[in-house]
Amino acid sequence: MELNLHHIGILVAEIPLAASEYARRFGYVARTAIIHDPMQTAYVQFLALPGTPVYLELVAPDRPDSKLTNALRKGGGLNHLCYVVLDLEAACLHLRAEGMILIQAPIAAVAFEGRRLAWLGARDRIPIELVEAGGPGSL
Amino acid sequence: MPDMRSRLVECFRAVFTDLSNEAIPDVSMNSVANWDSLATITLVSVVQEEFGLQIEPEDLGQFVAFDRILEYVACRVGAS
Repeated sequence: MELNLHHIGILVAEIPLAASEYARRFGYVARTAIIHDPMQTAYVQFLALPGTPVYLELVAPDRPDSKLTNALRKGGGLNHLCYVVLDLEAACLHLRAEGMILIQAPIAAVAFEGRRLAWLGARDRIPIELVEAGGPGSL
Repeated sequence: MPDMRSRLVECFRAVFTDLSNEAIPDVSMNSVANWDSLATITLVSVVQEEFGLQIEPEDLGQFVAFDRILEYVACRVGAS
């Protein structure tokens, strides 16, 4: 099974404010518009450092009862890691055999133009997102 | 069942370290302040290891209170 780190999810209160801070401090550049992701009950935006392949995903709750509201109350910050995989089912099977919990079975994702993703978790409290590989030029 | 109950108490102790053995059988997601979604995943992971189960995503809804989890585990272990 081949995994490549796709993005690091960072939970923030307001995406425009956080995006401008990451741009000013580190030189991150926006790679997408702010996207509404109903599955995550969140708004998301992908940033990247010029010339690097790994994205930063800023994630903010889309409403007061979002799945992310409690985590934001605890301070937000590092929220999840996402890996891109060629075979989503095989990757899920492998990680489940390694003791991870399947939180979300493969489902089409708005942020990835319909490519499927899945969520898993384990004792280390860092949720793992897996996303199917896209074609050239895709996010 | 008594052994299963004490093993499940130990699972809770591993996740919610500030809970006493006496309090654990009465706890639920609503009564424990730090029982959030990540704590649920940690608890599921510990229960999965302790009882040799593979827990399906559709069963995560059972992980909301000690007594419901005990019933669920008893059912799964009995069925396997």
